[in-house]
This record gives sequence, structure tokens and C-alpha cells, in this order.
Amino acid sequence: MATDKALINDSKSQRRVYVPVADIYETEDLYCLKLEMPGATKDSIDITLENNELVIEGKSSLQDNSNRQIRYSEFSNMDYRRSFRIGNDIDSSKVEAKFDDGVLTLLLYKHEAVKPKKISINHAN
Amino acid sequence: MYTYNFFDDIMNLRDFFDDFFSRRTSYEPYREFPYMRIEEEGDKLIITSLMPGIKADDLDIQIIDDSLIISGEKKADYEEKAYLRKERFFGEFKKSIKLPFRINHDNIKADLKDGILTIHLEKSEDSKPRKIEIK
Repeated sequence: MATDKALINDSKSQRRVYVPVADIYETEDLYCLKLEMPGATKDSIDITLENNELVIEGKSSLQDNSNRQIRYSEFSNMDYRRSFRIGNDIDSSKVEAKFDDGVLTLLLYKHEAVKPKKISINHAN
Repeated sequence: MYTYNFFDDIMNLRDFFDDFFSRRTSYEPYREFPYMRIEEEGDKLIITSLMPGIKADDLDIQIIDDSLIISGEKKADYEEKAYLRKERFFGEFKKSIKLPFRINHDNIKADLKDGILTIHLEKSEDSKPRKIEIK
């Protein structure tokens, strides 16, 4: 797993977030996105689809604990955020999401109109 | 107790520059999968590791002397399909870290939830601080 960091400039505050790594696959019916967000929970993930922009945000359940002294660390407790631009072929009413073992899977179904259709030729008798 | 190490400051400086120029798109070479953290709380040692997409059955944790060895396999969770983006890592991995002190081998708890592995260890009796009475 490799994760980039990004700086988010909100109107409220400036904060650092992790940009989760993602795989995107396409089939005839849908696009499948898989994002690695270890430490996020099912309830802490927000997925919004607006103006052709898909935004995925997740809060990490790892919290700074003042009783614990960090001896060594290769990561920090940061939240996740990543956005994708998507085309017009997505049916925004038909998006499925599930979260297992720290991996978020999003299924974005395509509009019926853009799916490939097989046209059969009728024989004129 | 903290022993001053000149290289810690150098590493801080490097991190500062890395953060400043952190427009890198992919791997951070000095860290290897899985990312780990060691924390100390009294006589306890808590090890946290980020392991997205790994099942408990595919994970093997061993303690040899004062080293913790985590190995396993991250199995690919997709079929061979046309991809638009492929950033995730799959395959076998093995990582060992040296613990700051010896631990009690009888009392080890490990838990894997939401892609986070937590291992609770306890200091062994002979690495706990001992007060010496002057007679």
C-alpha cells in the first residue's frame, strides 16, 4: 500500500489527509473502484456524487492517545479524502458501496443508454 | 530515556523537505508494506499495522527473540479485467521489526479489524524497571 498526502484548504481550516490508493476496473455494465482506507469505518465514510465529481471521505478510527508513547511510526492518524472526475455515462441513482477489511468497493453502474447492445437482424421471409 | 541521535535530526530535516515537495505520485521508498507503529503504555507494547484487504487466515505473526516478524499474502481481489487505474499492491510480504525490549511470550493478543492489525504485547519480567535497595 502506498498513500500520498494532500493538503486540504477548507474555508474553516487547513488539514492534511491521506489520498487512498485506488484501482479502477471497467466492465460492460459498470465501473468498479477499490480504495484502501485502513482504519476507516463503515459509518465514517462519506461518498458524494455531485456535478460529475465523486468525492470519497473517511475518518480514521485511530486516535492520538496521550497515555501512549510512540516509539516508532511509519504512518500518522490522518483522515482520507480522494476525488475523481467521472463522465456522463454513470447512473447516479445506481451506486453500490461496501467496506470490508479496510477496502472500500464502489460499483458505479452505467446508464442503460450507453451499455453495448446486441442488435439482432430479423430475416424477412 | 532518550538517547540523542544525530541522524534523527537529519531525518526530520529530510521529512520536512519531503513534505514540502510532496507532490510525488506513488511509493515512498523508505517504507515497506505493511506500515507499522510501535507504542508503549506502561508495561505494555502496542503494535499497530495498516493491512487493508488482508484476511486473518493469510497472516502469520511470529516472535523470535526480540523481533516481531509479520508475513503473509495479500490476495488479489479482482478478476482480470480492463483496468483504468492500478495503484494497489498484491502479493507476498514479510517484514520484521526489532522490539525495544524483550516481551512476555505467554501473553500476546492480536486483533484484525477494518484493515488494522493490533498486537498487544507485555514486557517480560526482566525488562521491567526494578528498584534496587541499598542495604
